[in-house]
Amino acid sequence: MMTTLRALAENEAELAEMKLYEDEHCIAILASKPFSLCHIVLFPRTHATILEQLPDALIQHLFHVSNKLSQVLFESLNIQGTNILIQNGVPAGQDDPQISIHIIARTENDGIKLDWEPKKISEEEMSIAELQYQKAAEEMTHETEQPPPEKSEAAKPEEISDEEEENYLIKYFERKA
Amino acid sequence: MEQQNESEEELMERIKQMSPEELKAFQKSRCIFCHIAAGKIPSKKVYEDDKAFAVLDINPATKGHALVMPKEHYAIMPQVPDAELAHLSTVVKQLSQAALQSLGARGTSILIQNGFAAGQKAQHFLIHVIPRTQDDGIGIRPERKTLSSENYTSLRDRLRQKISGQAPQDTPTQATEQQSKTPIEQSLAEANTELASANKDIDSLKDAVSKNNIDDEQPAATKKKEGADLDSISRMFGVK
Repeated sequence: MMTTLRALAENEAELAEMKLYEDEHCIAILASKPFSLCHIVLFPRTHATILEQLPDALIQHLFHVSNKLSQVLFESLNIQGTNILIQNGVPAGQDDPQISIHIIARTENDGIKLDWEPKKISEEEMSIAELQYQKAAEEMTHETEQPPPEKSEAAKPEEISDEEEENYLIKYFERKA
Repeated sequence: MEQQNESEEELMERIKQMSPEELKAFQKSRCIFCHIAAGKIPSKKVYEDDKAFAVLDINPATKGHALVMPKEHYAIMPQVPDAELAHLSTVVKQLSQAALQSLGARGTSILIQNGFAAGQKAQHFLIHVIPRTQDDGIGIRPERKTLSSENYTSLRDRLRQKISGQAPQDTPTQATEQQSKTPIEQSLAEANTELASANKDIDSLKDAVSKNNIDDEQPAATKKKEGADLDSISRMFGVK
């Protein structure tokens, strides 16, 4: 049974077994079912399901700590590489409702599936993607320049749906376990 | 150019004699991404500012596969200054959000490859942002392995030792333990002070959480505008 990261963070005894590093913003544990010979999972204390729900400053801190943990792996073990992976969303392989960063030790020809077959994308599709990103960037700049919209209308329905979502996610993972 | 008449051995010799600055300049001159940053090679740029840029990968895992990188040349991650890495992470978040909101993605894979064994191909530090959809058949599906509890414990202890910097034979006094931090702990502590100034934002967000049960003010605006998109993606947990 794999406990969720949130449950683990609240279980002092279990966390003490697995914890490698912690500070006021995040916790790093050694994965018990690793992707490779050694795999660290770093997660923020703030509850969030996807990366976009985290404030920028926290994401910056997480990348900083991931960089340091990657160096720790290089310096402690006889490895030839590390991957830093965020499985942001179920289609990206996310299997825990708490967003986390994986720092994965690699050795030559270890066969870990972290690569892909290049796809043939037409020039047209590439141009469309380029435009979509550029349009999204414009919209985001435009948003940050606007005053924040009224929260009162949407607050209540979102309040309920956030709670429902949490219960649903926790129940889903408890069922799985 | 002289270089074209050099044999490989001569070139290797020349490389060995180079100072770090000369070596860096040499790498830069041969770096395709530095050329792209300088506009010498055409590319599909999807983001640019003074310090960083992002282009579409010409050998993509899928449509919208973007590479986020610093304009400055750094071959490997430890060489990237903390402030630049922090900035890159913000660009990554922005592009990932764009992929979810505007490119039809239902998830994104964010990947850094440190070292050839990890799949690193370019000599210029970069971060992959790969849009994902359910059952898209893209690799990047690492499998969970089993680890004996013995191996787990010995790995864990070895890493803890490295992180806290305590050698087994040393018995430092309480005072020296507190004073002397390993370089890693020092830089992690420094990162905390950098974040401390942003703590005000997080504290006010925590207040917002307890009052409104909304996770974060900033995406609330996004959530509102794009309605279901980010919410529905985070709700995909439970839909398989």
